[in-house]
Amino acid sequence: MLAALALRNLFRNRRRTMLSMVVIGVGVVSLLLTLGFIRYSFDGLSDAIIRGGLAHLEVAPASVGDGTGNPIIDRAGSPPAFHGWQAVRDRIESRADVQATSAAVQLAGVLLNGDRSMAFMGAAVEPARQRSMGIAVKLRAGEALPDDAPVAGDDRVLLGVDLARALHVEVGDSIVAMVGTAAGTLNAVDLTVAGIFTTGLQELDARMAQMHLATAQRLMGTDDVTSLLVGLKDRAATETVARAIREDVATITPALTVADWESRAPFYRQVRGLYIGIFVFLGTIIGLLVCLSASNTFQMSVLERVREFGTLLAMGTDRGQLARLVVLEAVWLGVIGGAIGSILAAIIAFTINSIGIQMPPPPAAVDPLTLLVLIKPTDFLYAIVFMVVLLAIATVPPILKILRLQVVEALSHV
Amino acid sequence: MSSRRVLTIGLAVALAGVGLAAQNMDALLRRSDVGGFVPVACRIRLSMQQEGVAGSTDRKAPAMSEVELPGVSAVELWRSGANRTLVRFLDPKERGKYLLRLGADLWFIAPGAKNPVKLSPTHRVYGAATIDVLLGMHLADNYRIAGTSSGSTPAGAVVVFDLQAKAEQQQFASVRYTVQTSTERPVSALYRLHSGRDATLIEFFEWAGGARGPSHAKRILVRDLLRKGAVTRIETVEFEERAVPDGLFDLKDPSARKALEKTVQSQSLLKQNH
Repeated sequence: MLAALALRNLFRNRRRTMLSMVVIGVGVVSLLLTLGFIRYSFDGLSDAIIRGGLAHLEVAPASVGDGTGNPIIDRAGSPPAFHGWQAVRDRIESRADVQATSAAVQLAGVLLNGDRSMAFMGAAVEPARQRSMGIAVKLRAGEALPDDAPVAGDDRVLLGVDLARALHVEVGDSIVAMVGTAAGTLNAVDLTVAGIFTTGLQELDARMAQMHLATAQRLMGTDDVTSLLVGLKDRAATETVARAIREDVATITPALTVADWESRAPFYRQVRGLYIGIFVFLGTIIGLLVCLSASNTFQMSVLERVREFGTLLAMGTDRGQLARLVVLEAVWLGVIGGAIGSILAAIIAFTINSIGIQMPPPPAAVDPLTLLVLIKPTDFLYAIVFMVVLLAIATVPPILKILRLQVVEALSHV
Repeated sequence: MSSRRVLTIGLAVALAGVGLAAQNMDALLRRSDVGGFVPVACRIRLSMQQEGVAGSTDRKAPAMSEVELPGVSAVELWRSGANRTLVRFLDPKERGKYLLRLGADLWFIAPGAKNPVKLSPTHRVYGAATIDVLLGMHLADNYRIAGTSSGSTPAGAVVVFDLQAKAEQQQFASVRYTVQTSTERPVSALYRLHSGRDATLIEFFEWAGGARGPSHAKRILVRDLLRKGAVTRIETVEFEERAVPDGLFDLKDPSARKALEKTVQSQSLLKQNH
């Protein structure tokens, strides 16, 4: 009864109600589109990180790095120290939720082309296994590394775009890689440039080289690897599988650590923190604007209806009932405004996603970004609830006024 | 005799004494200079061990002639003349690798690389040991005596030379070189950077060979003071004064070095069969 009365009250001053709904709708649209873009960015970035070479999980000796920093930087200077990795790989790969497991060696050294030399960070991989994990190399020229382990003298390398440029090499050229071996001495191997690739990040493109696991092991004079990269069938199961693998390898000595992709991607954590900060800031401003605007509307609405409220009070209506009436009006406004805003946001998101707007590359990135908005059905509900809560808060000043209303004064109010 | 004449003669005698003392010190430095001991043509086999890799760094630790020990690396130095040195790595995994010093240039030769790779002349052979550490730095030629002092150690009296680099290009600006007076052999050498920071401390423990002729330290301890005092122990396993084939120092043609590898392989096969 009170809810129906509140709804009918909304349409007593249609122009003001429409204006309030526009404010609420715009707020909802802004929030949903921002949330959708941030979600797309998170999803895109996490996918790029996982498929860019980090994989879902990493199993590595506990003595090398702590698994929480940047793995490339943490481990590039350390020789591979994972003994007996084949048995561990077989054990992990036998799990039904694991797509594939690939051994990896991280190394650092110098690449030389005649008088030119550049420091590099290398990632040595098993190409076939990485491919089945969905880890792809973004080639700009040439071809990918062969699946089979190269024989000595036929070692190949993929160079980051800027690294290749700095060394003045092209596909097919021969360069020398020089690294410190696991024994603490030096080694050098001739490598043929098979291809030129991009990591998606300029900083890494100037330093990264990729080679076959066998090449890196030959270079470093070891059969050990740095870590095992585990690709999962379902990203959502990352934590569960990590826990299971952790329990599975707990008995192995020396101890192994299992780290998920997020803990090994400080860049992702930074971007996530930044975006969440922006979203909270934006949400606060929108919330404040909606709240103030709605509060003003409700104040005016109550002021216009002082005599009406006075009459209701004189007839024995409870002050609490009046307060509930105002709150219900706010709820209706929030629900209807939020629903309209949600519909608008869905239409705009669909349009943006259909057009495929290209944005310039984000800082430090190489490729332009396609603007997409990913809105989940639950987001609409959250947006409406957020607006209802805001509007309920906005009713506090008018409700206070109603609670202080004197019946006699209210009846003579002009 | 007038007092003026006595004073003049006294002054002349004193100056002559100072000059003589300086000459003596120069001569002592030259006689005790490690760079001067090593024969012009020789082959030296060394085993080297880094602290923390295996065993302790106790000065009285047992000898580590067994190169198969984990953390112990073996190298062979071939020297012909002051400017040509070949470092051959002997560990099974390191076979076919060489460091070749030709004058001021240092080259790295690896079996996996067709062409030699140029390195910094101060590149470390193993641990903290550079070629200069292994063969000496010719202190008498490259440094001048800035001061001397006397002291004593449990082994006897020593002379401490404070040496300053003659040229700015020298890797180390100054050296504190301690020589045992009785044997005229160095006890230690502390190398300092141009910044004044201590860089490397080399301690010599046992000397082989005559006091005047070719000689070599049997054991050397190298402390890398720039890396928290990391220690590399070096032991001379074999020392042979002999003619060295020129082909070993050929940068382009590896045939002499390959022949050397084959000889060594057949020798080790013979040893195994025996």
